[in-house]
Amino acid sequence: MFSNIKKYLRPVSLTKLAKESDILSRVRFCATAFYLAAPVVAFMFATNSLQNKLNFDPIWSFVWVTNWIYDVEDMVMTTKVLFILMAILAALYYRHRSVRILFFLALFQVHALESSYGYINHQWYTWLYTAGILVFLPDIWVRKVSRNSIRNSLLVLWTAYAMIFMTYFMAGVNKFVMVWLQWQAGEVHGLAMGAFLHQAAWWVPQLQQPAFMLGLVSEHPYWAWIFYVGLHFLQLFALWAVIRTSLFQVWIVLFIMFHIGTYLTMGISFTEHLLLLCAFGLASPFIWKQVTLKQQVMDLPVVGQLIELSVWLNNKYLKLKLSSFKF
Amino acid sequence: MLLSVVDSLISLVSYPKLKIIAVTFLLTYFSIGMNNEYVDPKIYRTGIEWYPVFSWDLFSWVPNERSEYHMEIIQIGGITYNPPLAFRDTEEMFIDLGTSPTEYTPTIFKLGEAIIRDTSKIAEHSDYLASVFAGQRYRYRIYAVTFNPVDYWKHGTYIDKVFIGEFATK
Repeated sequence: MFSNIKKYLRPVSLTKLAKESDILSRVRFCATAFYLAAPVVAFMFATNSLQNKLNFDPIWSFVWVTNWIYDVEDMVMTTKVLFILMAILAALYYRHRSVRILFFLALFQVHALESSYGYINHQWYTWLYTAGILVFLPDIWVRKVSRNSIRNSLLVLWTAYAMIFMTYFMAGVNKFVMVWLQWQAGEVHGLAMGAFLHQAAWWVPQLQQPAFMLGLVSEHPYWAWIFYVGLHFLQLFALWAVIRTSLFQVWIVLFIMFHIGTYLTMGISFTEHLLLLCAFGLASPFIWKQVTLKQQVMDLPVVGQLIELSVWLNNKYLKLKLSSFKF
Repeated sequence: MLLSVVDSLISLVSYPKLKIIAVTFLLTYFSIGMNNEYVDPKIYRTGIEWYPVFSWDLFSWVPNERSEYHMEIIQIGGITYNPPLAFRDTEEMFIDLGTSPTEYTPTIFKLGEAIIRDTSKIAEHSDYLASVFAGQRYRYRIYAVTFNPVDYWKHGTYIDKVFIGEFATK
């Protein structure tokens, strides 16, 4: 059964990829990009104003700090300073696993602190997961690296990307479940015309952030509908893009555009996560250098399968000459 | 200790097994995350989250006509607002304080719920709201409102708006 599933999915072969001549430098570049972005997010975190917030209520992973430091302002300042130090350390010495572990632990505490004010901060999750998975990178910075180490490092990176993409996939699944529930209830649902305007119009007064392009959503409901429905499918098929990696770059770029669009229309910024997509996402060794449009179309979810099915039907029954679609 | 465990895992476990570990990790995360949402219909959409695992149920529910509680400010310090200032228009006041009005929105909702359903909690939530404007004396009203989000965003209009309480900080 598993071989049939694998045959259908046609996932990227890491064994084959590990044999490419420049793959080691691409893997190293990807890890470097992630850890060089770390100090940037650390300084961004340092500029926030957590110390001014009044509703400090530590979650389980931050409670231990309250036994050592009693003043909330001191806690925030200590966490900020330590995070900056760890991020700089990680940017300089990320080749050492011990440093990667320290950076992960620092991030874990930063996320715990951010989440200790009544609600969990969600945009730091992808940083946290990626840092946790990259701890397992094999030592690929020695003079001679074995093929096995390269393949293992590719697997670690693939898991990190799959984790990021799965967050979108889960968001997509939730969206379609909610479409079903709201459609059953006779409400405006996610795939309905005007759904995005409802979404944005509710969030903008709540968040009170500037939403420069919300007016356009209101004036051009058809365009907004196309983008919003497209977003549902983009998220639902996110995992597909880490299985059929010819689509990887397209999905990363669309995710980046989606976050920029969310900021412009709803005022919701996922800045740290966006930086992760730009640095770690675009530096991926899974981005094909010589991908053809035909390959990407054939790898598209649903569309690719429909083409494959029609070619199969043609070969079996119609026997028309379609030489360019041989499998 | 931790380092040696990680090193052993990487070096001793074969590549096929590492693949199984990676996929199992992803499937486990997915199962726990989605379980948060769907295992019990009673807890559906109550914000239950098994940190650090999240369901990623973000912006999936499309707001339709809805009922909630809104705050309107009548007076802050020596300034009286006529007509009253809607809480949704107070963003600029929070810039100097380094906080955001959205942090208080859940408490406004809880205060409204307390007035309607459980009066014993009123003091707790109104005390918290007393700190909103950094100790300045202010007076506000709470309304139970029903509105269409699009109409409210465009025109600030409600389908229904019922006054349920007025509070003043000490």
